[in-house]
Amino acid sequence: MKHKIFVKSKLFALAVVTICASIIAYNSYAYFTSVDTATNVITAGSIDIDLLEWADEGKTVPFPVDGINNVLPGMEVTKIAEVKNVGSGAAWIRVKIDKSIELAEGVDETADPENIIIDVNDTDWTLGEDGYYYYNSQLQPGETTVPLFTTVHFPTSMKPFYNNCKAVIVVTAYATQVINNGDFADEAQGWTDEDQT
Amino acid sequence: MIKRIKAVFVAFVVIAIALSCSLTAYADGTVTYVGGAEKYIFEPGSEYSPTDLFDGFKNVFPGEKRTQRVEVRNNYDADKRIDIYMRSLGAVEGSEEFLSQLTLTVTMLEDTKIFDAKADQKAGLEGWVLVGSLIKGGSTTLDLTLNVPETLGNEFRNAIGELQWQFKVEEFDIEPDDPAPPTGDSGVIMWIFASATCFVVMLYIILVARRRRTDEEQA
Repeated sequence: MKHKIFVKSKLFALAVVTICASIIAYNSYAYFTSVDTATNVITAGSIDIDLLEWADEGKTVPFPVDGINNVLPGMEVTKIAEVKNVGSGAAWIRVKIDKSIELAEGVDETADPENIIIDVNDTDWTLGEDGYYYYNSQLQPGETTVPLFTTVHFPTSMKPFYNNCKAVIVVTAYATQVINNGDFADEAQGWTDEDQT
Repeated sequence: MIKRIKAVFVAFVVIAIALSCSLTAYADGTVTYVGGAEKYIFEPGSEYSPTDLFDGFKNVFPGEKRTQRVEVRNNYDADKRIDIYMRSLGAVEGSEEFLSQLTLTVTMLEDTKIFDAKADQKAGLEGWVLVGSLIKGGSTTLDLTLNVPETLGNEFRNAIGELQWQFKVEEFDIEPDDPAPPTGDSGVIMWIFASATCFVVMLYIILVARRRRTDEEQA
């Protein structure tokens, strides 16, 4: 009898130890896991500009593609040239102006493009040694520059052989990013995004 | 004397609160484990992805170096410790060309770099990496740096690259010898308030003992 009780006690103790050990072991393991995914996005910015030319002071009439006819010496023509930043990053802006005069057919003379006189804004723009006009400020997204020029006129001293000539003004605008690209426009590199009228 | 002690206690608590506020760090992105049905909350999200953690990596330009943080938190409302792991699934299809131009580093605990490769790669995050062992309210941070090369061409203007990170949590019952959260403000704040509590308790014991002695002497 005593032996039976002893064996039973041992078995009971063993059972208790086993149960305790399993509980400890169970609590040492994770009993729940969960997984989920984050989709992370990196985007690149852009530098993009629009060259705008207006035929009126109110900037409501775009300058005609075919130009303006029947301009006489001494006349002043409204032609407003400005640049708008339509990209997502701040930009440095520069503009090149190319002037030329095409004389009428049969006229055997040399035309002087300096007869095309443009009232360049030298307050907000600076003429560089390379012939480009550099905008003095950074142009933020959505902003438009102060106009580079607003009028074109021809002197009264123009000689008669200029009759029926065609005065051509080609304006080309360039932009480059401001970030990590110099403190002034004329120090910047990587000029691209040409827009021309 | 008692009034002076009270004034000291109030000053101590005020200082403790002020210190705890100044220790809270701002995290750009957050991964919060909340358990239950929702499990995880990824913030801030974006117009591109509701789980987007990269708020600081938008509109990048050549030559830029951007940094941001991602905070990983345990807000599970239960007495559980969680081990939280992460791994990278790499670039989403179609994003490889753009992301392969960029270099991304991920550092945890301020000096352990767990990822340093092109952003389209899995690299050191190909397998599960333990980023934190957190009790309720605990957090840890990941510091991210994105390098955009100066040579990034115009063909990548307005490019969009998607990169997937996966997170896994294992829950455990809290053991008596569980370590404190590996990092994060909550650990320091806990010590501050624990110290304040001990101070208050000690003061109370001293005051009670003094009063009893006084009462006994008078008796």
